[in-house]
Amino acid sequence: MNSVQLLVGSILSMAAVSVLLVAVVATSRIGRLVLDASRQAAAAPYRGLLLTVAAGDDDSGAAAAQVSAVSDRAWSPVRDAAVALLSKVRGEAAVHLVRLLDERRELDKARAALRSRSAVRRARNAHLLGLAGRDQDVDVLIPLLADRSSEVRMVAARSLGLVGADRAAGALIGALAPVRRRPGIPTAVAAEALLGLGVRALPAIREALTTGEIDQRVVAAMVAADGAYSGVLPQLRDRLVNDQELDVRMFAARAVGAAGSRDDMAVLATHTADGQPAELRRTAVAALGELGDPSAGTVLVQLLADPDIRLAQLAAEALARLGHTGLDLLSVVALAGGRSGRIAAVALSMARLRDGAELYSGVGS
Amino acid sequence: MHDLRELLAAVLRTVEEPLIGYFLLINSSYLLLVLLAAVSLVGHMRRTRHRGAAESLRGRLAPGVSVIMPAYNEAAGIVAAVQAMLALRYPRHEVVVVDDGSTDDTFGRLAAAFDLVELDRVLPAEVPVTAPVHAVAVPRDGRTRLVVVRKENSGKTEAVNAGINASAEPLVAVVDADSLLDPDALLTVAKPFTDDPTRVVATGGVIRPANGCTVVAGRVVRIGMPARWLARIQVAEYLRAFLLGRAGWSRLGAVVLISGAFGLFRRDVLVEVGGMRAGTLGEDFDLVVRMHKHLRDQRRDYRIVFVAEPIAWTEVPSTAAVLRRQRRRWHRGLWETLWTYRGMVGRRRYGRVGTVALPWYWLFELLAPVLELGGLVLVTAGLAVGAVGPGYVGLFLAVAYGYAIVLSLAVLVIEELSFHKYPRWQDLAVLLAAAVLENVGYRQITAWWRLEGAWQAVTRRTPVWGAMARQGFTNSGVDHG
Repeated sequence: MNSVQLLVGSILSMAAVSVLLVAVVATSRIGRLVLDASRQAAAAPYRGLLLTVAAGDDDSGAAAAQVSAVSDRAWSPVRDAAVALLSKVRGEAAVHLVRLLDERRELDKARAALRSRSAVRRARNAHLLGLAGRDQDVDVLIPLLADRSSEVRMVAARSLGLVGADRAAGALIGALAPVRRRPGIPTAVAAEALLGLGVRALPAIREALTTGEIDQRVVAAMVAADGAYSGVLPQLRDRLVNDQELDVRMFAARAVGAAGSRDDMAVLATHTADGQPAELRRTAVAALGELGDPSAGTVLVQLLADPDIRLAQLAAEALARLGHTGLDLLSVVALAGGRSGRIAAVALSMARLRDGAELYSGVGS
Repeated sequence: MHDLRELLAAVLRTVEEPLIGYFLLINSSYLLLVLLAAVSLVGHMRRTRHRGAAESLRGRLAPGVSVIMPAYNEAAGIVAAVQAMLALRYPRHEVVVVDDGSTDDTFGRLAAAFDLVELDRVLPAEVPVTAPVHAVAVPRDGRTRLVVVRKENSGKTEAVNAGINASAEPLVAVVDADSLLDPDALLTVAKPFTDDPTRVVATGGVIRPANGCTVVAGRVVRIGMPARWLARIQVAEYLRAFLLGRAGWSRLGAVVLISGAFGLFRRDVLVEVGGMRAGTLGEDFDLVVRMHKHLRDQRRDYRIVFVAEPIAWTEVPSTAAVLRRQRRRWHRGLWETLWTYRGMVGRRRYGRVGTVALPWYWLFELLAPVLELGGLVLVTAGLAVGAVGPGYVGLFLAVAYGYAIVLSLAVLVIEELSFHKYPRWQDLAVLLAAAVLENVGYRQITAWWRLEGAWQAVTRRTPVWGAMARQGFTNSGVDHG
């Protein structure tokens, strides 16, 4: 074959492929439109009934019975709509939708699909079981925290958080550790799931703070900070002072600020000192504002002159949260001028804008 | 004449195969990227239901985001843009607008719309900003999470840096003031930071042209094709380059470009690398390559991810003059960045970025206009002096551009099978035609403009951003052509 024949052959091939690609575009669109129309038509009679069920207005159970009795052909789009609704509703409405899915054996199928070879299928069905929120599914979801697919492990963790069973807490914290060279679940995912469990996770959090590995201590402190759990304050104070890991100390500082008492002012103030890591100092300053103890005012005023401008600004914001004592101190510094004065004045202005000038009628400038 | 014909014939005989080989290589490399992207997109679509986007919205621990919008003379659409950014679905985000010394009423409109009050706020100097900051303003209600920074004009890079200094959240989204984000864009683009918090340092979303779409209150509410062919062709071009190309690089773990129109970065890493580099024209490319260099030099385990679904819509040039300025600027920026980081090329220390992505950009992005236009000139001259026959020229061009057309059509197949954003049959037909027409005239003229940009870079002419004539997006739902 000479070069011209080769080129002609190439062109003909390209032309054929181009025509084929255009045909694929057209046929895929036609196929999709036909399928969508067919699914919509099949589901249309049941859409209103499904909304009645989801809205909790189906006192007699008639709507649920009708939806549950749909033909197998119509069920697929109805099921998809029900699952989509389930991710948006809570309480009684969710209970009705779960009952509907259970009657069509969707949840049994989901449990069986957790053994699928496809990671996407396992994840998808773990997600459905999480949305269903049934306590009995916790025992099939927990083993998925050690699944070979990171995606499945993550979805299982989220689902356990949605179900909210206390016996999942230890497993979630345990799943942070790598297994057979597979990384553990991400800290934020575990923490979010544990927050879904509420105070029922407290024993596991306490244990993690005391004996856990780094990621486990980080997550325990994260959850304690966001949940303001006073039940683990002794452990948090200990982590703040003694932990080797900066992230743990930072979250512990936040948690102490959120859940602590006046007794914690001194230890937080210690961590604002020059020489501590910058991020820890900033966190401790914000925690002092969160704690709201007026006796922190003196420390915070000194920090308004800190070379770290962000730290100084956080100190000003923390002062604004200490009530009249903090606002008075800010006013004094603002009047003195200079960089500290500017920072104080901005914090005062923001506090006035945020909470209304009338609250500060007797305060400073 | 005879000698010239002989000379051209000799030259053509010499370069014929390398030139065809080059075109085959460039298109095959794109085809590979498209196939990799297709695999990613299939996985992405299959995971839509259980991705956990709804949970992210309720997430109490979702990292906060500061959305930075540098604005220069954006009075036409700034209020709607800021309102849309404030209304994005996300648990915790603030909007930081940096008015870069606008000479129009950009600040005035913001001040009136949000009842701004000025504060004498000291901004940290965590990343360099040389131009003076005149004022920082916030809404009088004290609750709307908007900060407006007014500074002397010094270009986009410094405007973004001023925004980084004024931002308060751990993640920073850099968004053009004329970008229109889908409502869930932040949720989706921030998701990798939640799923892999220790490694992900930056994510980028896909950019699509907003021309032809109906925009209401800063949101794209109906997707359509532009009225002008110049913009229509850019729709096809953006699909190939910005959606499939970058998704392919992401699959390879070698994303080196996150568009300045919509990217999300870890703030601490931005500060570590010194923010945007002043005076660069390809500031987005420069930033991402610099992040790679910095993190690789420190041997840190990190990821930069492209996310195919959240969309930033942006107005693309609808006139040749504006498009020419844009392409010259882009190519000059490309040249500057590749030259600045030439030391990374081929070095295993920089992983696939150094051994695959950057060499690819040198070979198939930077040198493409030179080789493409050089080949065209040679073949045309050869035809003029009779060194080659018209049949050969036709065949040569068809092979060079026919493959590219096949590639563009393959991209449309993937778009239709995945996102199918253009619902009208008429738009689909236009898109198919644009994918073909892109290779007939458009590609050659933009290659010439890119060559001009390269020349400006080589001769070190003073870089100029140039004005992008924008019509702005109004609340009336007007189509922009």
